[in-house]
Amino acid sequence: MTIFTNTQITVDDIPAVSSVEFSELHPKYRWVNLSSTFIWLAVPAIPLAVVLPKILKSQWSLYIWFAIAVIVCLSFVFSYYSAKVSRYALREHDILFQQGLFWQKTTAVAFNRIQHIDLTHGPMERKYQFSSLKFFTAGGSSVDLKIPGLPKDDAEQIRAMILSKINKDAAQDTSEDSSQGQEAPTHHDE
Amino acid sequence: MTNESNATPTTEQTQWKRLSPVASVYYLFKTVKAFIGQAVPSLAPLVIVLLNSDDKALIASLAAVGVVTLLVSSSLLQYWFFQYQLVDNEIKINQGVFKKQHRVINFDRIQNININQPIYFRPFELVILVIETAGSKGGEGDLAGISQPMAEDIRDKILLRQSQIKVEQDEANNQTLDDPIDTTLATEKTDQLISTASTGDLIRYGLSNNGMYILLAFMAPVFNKSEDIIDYFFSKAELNAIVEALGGKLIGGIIIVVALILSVFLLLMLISVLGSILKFHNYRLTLTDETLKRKSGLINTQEESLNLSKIQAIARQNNFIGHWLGRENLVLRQAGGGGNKQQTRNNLFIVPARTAEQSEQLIKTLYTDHFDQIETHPINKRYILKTLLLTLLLPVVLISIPFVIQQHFWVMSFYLLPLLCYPLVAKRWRNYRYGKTGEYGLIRTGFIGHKQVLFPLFKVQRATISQSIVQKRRNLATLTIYLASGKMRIPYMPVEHARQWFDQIYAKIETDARPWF
Repeated sequence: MTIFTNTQITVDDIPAVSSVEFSELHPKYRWVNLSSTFIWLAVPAIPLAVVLPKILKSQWSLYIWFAIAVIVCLSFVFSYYSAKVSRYALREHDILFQQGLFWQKTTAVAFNRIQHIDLTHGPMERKYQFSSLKFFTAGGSSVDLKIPGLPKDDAEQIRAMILSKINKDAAQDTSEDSSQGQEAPTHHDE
Repeated sequence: MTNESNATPTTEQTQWKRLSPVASVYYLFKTVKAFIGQAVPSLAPLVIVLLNSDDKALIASLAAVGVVTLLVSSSLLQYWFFQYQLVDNEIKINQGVFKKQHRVINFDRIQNININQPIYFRPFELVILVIETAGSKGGEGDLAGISQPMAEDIRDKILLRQSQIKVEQDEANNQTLDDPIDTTLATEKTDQLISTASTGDLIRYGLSNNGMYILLAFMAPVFNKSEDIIDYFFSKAELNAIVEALGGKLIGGIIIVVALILSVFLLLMLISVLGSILKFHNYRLTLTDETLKRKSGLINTQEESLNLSKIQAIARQNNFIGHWLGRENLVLRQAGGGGNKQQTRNNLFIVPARTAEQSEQLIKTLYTDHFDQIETHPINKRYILKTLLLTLLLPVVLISIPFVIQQHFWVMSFYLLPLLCYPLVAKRWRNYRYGKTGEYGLIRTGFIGHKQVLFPLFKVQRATISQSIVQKRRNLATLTIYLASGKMRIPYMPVEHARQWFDQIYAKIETDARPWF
């Protein structure tokens, strides 16, 4: 039905990741992220601060408290700023995510490679109506892309949008398969 | 060819059939294997009863007879209750003695079909048809003990059906485009012999196969016990005499250690060579339409089929022995089963011991592009510095801290170690190259041997660009590419190259509708 086209694309026509406009996560999420870090740290740090000096020599306790305080402070700063620098972008065929304070990482998941999408939220996220989207492809045994700190409604909307796109593509695929299916054998026969 | 699939099933097809009675031998092996794996640990109480009893011989023989009877009768029953039939495009299997199982396998769902022949089936000209579907863990859909022509017939039917689906879809959806392929695809079967391997080749494969070093890791516990083993064979006095005969305490000791290491190494090589001959004896690689078939095996014959569209990447690799022999191995990588080790090893389709030209020839058959003129780029030289400082020096420094605090400053001499590694790291840097065409990517790595991975860009699942602060200042980046068969990294490439790769990969996978699987 559709006539197979294969127009040539020059390198300049390929959409470039460097020109994508990323949007930041919700500013409130920085504090949510910080407070969930606080919960995770308080659980081991407080008993540690109490017990460790008792086991070791007493003149060391000051150092230990100091060290724990430094680690806790650094984690707070880190969790706040890592949420601040995380950014995402939706394109027509994929979703991009950029993160990392010291190691900046940009990754994308193409909609037609997605196996499934999870929508999750931790206790703190739930309290403030945030969600995380987790994308799975066949290219790894664990989560391929996790976008945290999306307002709950946004996350659900994005997921619904991507899923409907995948389904539409799949429906189109069967018709496109015709052109592609024939291409595949010639491709290998050469 | 559509006639054939729609043909009314003949009477022969609609009846339930049993496997050959010899199949009970297969079930016996299977049951014994399961018995050893699962039941033996729970037999400990029985052993205690046995050891405490007065008449050990009687009880033991009673137990042995009991176990053997149980195993034999169980395998006979399993054979008796296994029935199968082919109806249209389905295989129906009924099995189970107490827990009945009815299984229907649709041809369209089948991923791999292999034909194996264990040695005990050979006199009867019987084979095992191994049918793998996406969800099967293996063994559930096996037809063990059917005749060779029958197995081949079933396999051809399945392959024919699968190529028909493709053609039918083409016809239904695209009548405007008449393609010469759909008339020839399913009907004309041309077996194209691609490769064979002589025993000499197999010996070379055994030597150049890295599996040997995996074996070495398994042997590690044995090395820990090596003293005990030596003690077992030689007395202290004899050992001393040998050391003396080899020229005194230290030199003699060193010679013994070196000789031991060498003999272990040679032993492993021997095992590897034997394994290679066992697995690849009478090796024949053929290409039929879209399916690669490997047939080989000395004791147990195996026939493995692989649809070309399932290949995720092709790796050419050799180690230093292979390098020296001028041989390399070609590994056709398939999608890995979610990190399951056992399965990932099975997902490698190995073409052993090939010369560089032979590999290039085969790659040309499988992929359309030519890779001889492909332009490759080196990664940035800072890779050496980073590897030396972060990967090698940092752990040494961290480990040394407690020693240095206690004022053992001599430990700091170990900091020179990374310096000694410099030539190796530099060599690795020099061998690290990458390149791409419009359709394919190429990544080359290696120390002394080399590994070159070629993959179609549209099979990529995901790509990631990462930059550390230092890399950012130097405009460098690390690109990680995830395929269904595993991930690959190009470290320390110019950031504009990384972005180019990233953009091209995503443009490719989003516009190319060919299925990656």
